[in-house]
Amino acid sequence: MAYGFISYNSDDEVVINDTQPTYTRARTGTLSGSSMTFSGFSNNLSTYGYSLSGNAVLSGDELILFELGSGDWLCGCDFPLSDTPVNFISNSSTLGYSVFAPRDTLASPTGYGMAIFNGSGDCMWDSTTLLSRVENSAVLPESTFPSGPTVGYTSSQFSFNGGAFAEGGALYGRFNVAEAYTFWGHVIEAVSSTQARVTYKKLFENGDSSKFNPVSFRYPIAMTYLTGST
Amino acid sequence: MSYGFELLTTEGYVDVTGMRTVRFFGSYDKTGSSGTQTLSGFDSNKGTIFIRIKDGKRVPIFDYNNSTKVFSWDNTGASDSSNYSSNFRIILLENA
Repeated sequence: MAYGFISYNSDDEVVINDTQPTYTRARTGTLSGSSMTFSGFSNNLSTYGYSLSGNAVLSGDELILFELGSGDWLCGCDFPLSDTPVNFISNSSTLGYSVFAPRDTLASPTGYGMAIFNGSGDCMWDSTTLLSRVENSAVLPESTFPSGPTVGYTSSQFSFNGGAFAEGGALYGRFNVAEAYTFWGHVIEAVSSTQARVTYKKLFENGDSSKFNPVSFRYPIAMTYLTGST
Repeated sequence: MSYGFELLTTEGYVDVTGMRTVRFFGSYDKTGSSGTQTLSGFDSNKGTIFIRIKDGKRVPIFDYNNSTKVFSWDNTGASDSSNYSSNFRIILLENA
């Protein structure tokens, strides 16, 4: 490069540069869930539904990361599977969250520290805001189908130092599996304070075939990205 | 550390040796039940395609060809095509 700033890690991957804004924490909060019901179906697991409200409402290119305690899980919701449509499902009645935004969309830093700017004077990174970092990820292949009410796949399990889980797109666990008379969630689960995995859980069930028309399994993966920053 | 660059995190000082950050690469707003979008310069081996749904429906049925850099989606072939999003934002993240 002729000028600017790039920092690489030991795998020759870019960590910070002056052309791409890092995702940094813009705000935090806690959401309260509502106990879920689904007409004609019974809850196989106790579940709480969440919609993004207040400071959790996203704009532009923001991402929201939820903090999961040991044993908690989170499932993105593609379409209404409760009587009140929700964005996420969890076993936890409250979820702490952090909204991350590209650094150049936030206010410029002031006071002490270090900052990296691009040629237009936009801040790409600075030492005063919390940085979003990737710790690990996991993929659950499409061909894998659950055979029990809760199936954990050790191949998808990995260590982390605690933190949060990304939502959206291919990044989060999602409700995406259905077989006759049951709804399955493709979830991200913190199995302990240091171990996470992607897995399936049976959320709702009903023995009456008239209640549900099975849909095919379309999503190939659930991928988890963790950050150690929250 | 003997040399290099450290960042202060919630886990204390972390050097950049094994660190991977999440960086914004670009974004596109798309509508319609099918279409294409060229993601110029985006390498899916170095990042992730993140899709934000705006109409409360399912993630569209999409594919990305990392060689041609063409992102395509087509919900029209699904028997329940109306359940798939036709108003979404593609957000590209890079972490390598």
